[in-house]
Amino acid sequence: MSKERRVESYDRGRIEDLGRAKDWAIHKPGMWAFYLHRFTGLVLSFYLVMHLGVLGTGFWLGHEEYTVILQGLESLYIVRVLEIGLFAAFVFHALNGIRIVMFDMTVGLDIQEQLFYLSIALSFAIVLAGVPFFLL
Amino acid sequence: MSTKKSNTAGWNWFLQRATGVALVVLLGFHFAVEHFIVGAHHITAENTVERITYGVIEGDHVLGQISINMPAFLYQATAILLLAFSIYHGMYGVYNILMEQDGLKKYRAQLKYFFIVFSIVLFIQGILIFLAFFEPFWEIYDPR
Ligand code: HEM
Ligand code: HEM
Repeated sequence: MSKERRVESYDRGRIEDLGRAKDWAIHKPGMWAFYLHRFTGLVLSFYLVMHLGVLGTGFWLGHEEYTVILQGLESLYIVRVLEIGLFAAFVFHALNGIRIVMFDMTVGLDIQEQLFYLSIALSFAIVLAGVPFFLL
Repeated sequence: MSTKKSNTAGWNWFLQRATGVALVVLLGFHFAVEHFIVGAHHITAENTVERITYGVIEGDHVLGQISINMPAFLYQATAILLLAFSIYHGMYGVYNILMEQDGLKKYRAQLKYFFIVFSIVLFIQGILIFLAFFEPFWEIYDPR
């Protein structure tokens, strides 16, 4: 990476933080990759906690209640759509995670940005192909 | 990025990567089972027992009628590893994000213990879920 690409992160105080909002416009791909990875990781973690809560009804309430609750949730259109979002979060986080691990092993360091665009493109393709499974 | 302060930090850094790579397979398999073969809206306690107790994955969704009979212990292993790895990877990830927020640094110790305890609670809940659909256990325990 060339020098001017490096993100400076010394503390410039609260007021300057606000001014930095405009930085979004000039953020480099690596920064987008970082935020997207973080966001999708948080989505997956939040889902995991909710998921274990919902599945737990199978133990705490019993099998009949488990089936009723799961089928009830899945009968809501919004849940189906959100699950596509969850799948998209998984696919991007996984592909970009592989990209990060590759860099840690010093593989592909000079094509970081191309690999980011590749993981975005692959994510779109995989999620689009998956849509019927979630909505039908 | 990876300023390794101690050996523990180095280990956690490595485990974050190792569990991540394993999760590609484990969670990929999980989505394939629940969404592509069974179809989330066809999930019932009955077919959850088939998967967890007998390793039988059955579905009639977009791909048509599919029935996979895998060794029970193999399916059980994917479930428990998915449970352990996603809790470790996810909770350690969230903890790290919080530790990067300057305002929270003074609560480092408290947050650390919170996440350790919370992760253990999640893991126990996961084991109970597993047992609820593991027939030999449920036949004895079932509260009704
Ligand atoms: C599917 C396979 C996955 C791979 C390959 C993967 C890979 C990674 C890697 C390499 C990191 C470290 C990023 C860094 O240090 O810059 C990371 C962070 C993270 N992952 Fe994953 N992960 C996967 C699945 C998951 C799952 C299932 C969850 C949630 C349960 C999750 C939640 C997180 C969180 C919260 C972070 C912290 C993000 C940050 O520090 O900005 N990941 N992941
Ligand atoms: C919307 C998509 C998903 C559906 C429909 C779904 C459904 C299920 C179902 C029905 C089970 C019960 C056990 C079984 O059938 O084998 C289960 C178990 C599990 N799921 Fe998911 N899941 C989804 C996504 C996820 C994600 C994204 C994660 C990780 C972050 C996850 C983590 C787990 C874990 C750890 C278990 C094991 C619980 C145990 O046996 O203790 N699931 N899931």
